[in-house]
Amino acid sequence: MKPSEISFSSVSLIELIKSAFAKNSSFRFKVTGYSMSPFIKDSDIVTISPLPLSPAALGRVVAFIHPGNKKLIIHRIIGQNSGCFILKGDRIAEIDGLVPKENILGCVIRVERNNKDARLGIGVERRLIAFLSKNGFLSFIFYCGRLILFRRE
Amino acid sequence: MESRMDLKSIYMPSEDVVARDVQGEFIIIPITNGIGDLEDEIFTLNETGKAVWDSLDGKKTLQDVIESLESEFEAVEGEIGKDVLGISAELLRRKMLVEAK
Repeated sequence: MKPSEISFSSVSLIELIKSAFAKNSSFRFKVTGYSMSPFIKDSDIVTISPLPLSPAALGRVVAFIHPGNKKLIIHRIIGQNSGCFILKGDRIAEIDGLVPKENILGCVIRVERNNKDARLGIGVERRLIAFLSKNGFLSFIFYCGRLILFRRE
Repeated sequence: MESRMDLKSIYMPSEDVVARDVQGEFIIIPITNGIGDLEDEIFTLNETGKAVWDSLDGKKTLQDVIESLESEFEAVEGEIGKDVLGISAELLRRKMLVEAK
């Protein structure tokens, strides 16, 4: 059976990811949503791995359980505070609040789009993206980009 | 070399799968090259398949499994044996079961 024939809820995906990690494996699945666009787009396939997190985690894109709604979300680490991570979608203005380390399932280590690797956003440039996102510059850049594209059309 | 399956064979789930009840379906996801791959072909088992999977514990022979399920479920004579052998063969083919040593 193709996985597309089954609709997986957040709870099911979290269970499957935890089961794979318990076997020291990574986990590969298709994502939905636009909060990380253009670095991760709707229907991209991501591979997440249970990498250890440290202060160097700034800018990493991680899969985590949202402390409020308990849903599985993939956003970027833009800071740390009181032993928790501050996470935010690149495309949205609000942060996810303080997320305890135990809610972080793993890091995105690969993004595939149309059968090719989409590397931008998860390499060393991730720290710059985190800085821009944290200070609101990323939204401004996207806005300017849209204006330029609109004028060309 | 693959050994031939017979009623004295003993099987157990492979280490290279993730098997979970997901929203009422029992699904088995292969782990390939260290990745549990939800975008690969996944295998689902119905209630009978799940009962067979749970019984293949690396201790019982296929004959034991058939006898145990025959005492648990009502079915036409020979039907459970056919199901156990069929499901086991399919899981073996997909390398989701391994022979217990």
